[in-house]
Amino acid sequence: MRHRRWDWGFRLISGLLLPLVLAGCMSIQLVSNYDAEIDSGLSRMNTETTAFVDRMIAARGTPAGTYTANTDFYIDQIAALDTLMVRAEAHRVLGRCPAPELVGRVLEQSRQRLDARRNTPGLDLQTTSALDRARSQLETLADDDCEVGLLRLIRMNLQELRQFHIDQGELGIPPSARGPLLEGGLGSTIRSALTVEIAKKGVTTSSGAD
Amino acid sequence: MALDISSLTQTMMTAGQGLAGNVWERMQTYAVPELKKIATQIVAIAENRADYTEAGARTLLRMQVNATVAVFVAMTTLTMLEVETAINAILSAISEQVNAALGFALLI
Repeated sequence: MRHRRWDWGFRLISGLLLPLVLAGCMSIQLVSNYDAEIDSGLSRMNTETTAFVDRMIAARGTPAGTYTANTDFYIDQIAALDTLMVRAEAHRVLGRCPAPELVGRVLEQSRQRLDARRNTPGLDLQTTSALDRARSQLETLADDDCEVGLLRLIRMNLQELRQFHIDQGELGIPPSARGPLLEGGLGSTIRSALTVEIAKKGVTTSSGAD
Repeated sequence: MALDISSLTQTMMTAGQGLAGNVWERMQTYAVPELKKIATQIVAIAENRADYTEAGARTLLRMQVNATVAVFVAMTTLTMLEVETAINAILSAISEQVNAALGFALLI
């Protein structure tokens, strides 16, 4: 029975794909090609950000660890990222990222569940506001390729790192911030974009490498 | 060689079979561990609250939300990549069968 359902499913797909084949469309492309410049640019950013955070932790409480002594780092990294974004935008394939359709419903259901069992108001309020923020972030990223969206998220987190440095004032960047900045936060966002770029490396499309 | 619907369907099924498994593997090897790391950091921010100004703690939390969204977007991209690979494998299988049946390369 299950096999028969699969069989009919694939007959249906073959019915949909055959016109494509007969029209001469022998391959499709949903994701942009691998770009070695984006790959190496992200790897370099990961190294430089890690080194910077470690230097700031070591220099906390001294003038060398303050935001004002390190504005160049942020200017350079944001400029480097903007260059990578120009490359990613030039490789646009769909001009759309279906992440809100795929994940938006899961986030909405999580929010409804939290609303239904609201018994620790402070914590739940923070969680629901984080879920709302995540959903609206996804929606703002929907109108471009997912790869461009990933680079936008790195840019946002670079700006948040700068904001954190400013917010901390004389406290500087404490050792306990290393995890939230590099294991989660900015480090995680760079890893996500790198994971996609490396996965693309193993896939070749009819349009060839860029 | 005649064009056989059953054989063509079987070839297409074989070509598309890896799709679900590959997406699941991506979930297990990338998305789940990455989301766990982010969750760990959210707990760590709360535990080390004394190390941060109020604005600093809020900024760190916003960074975790952005990182979580990045995992969702990356997982979406990886899924699209698997779909692309599966569809292209199916299209390739169709062209092989059709060309073999016709005896010349109609579809290239």
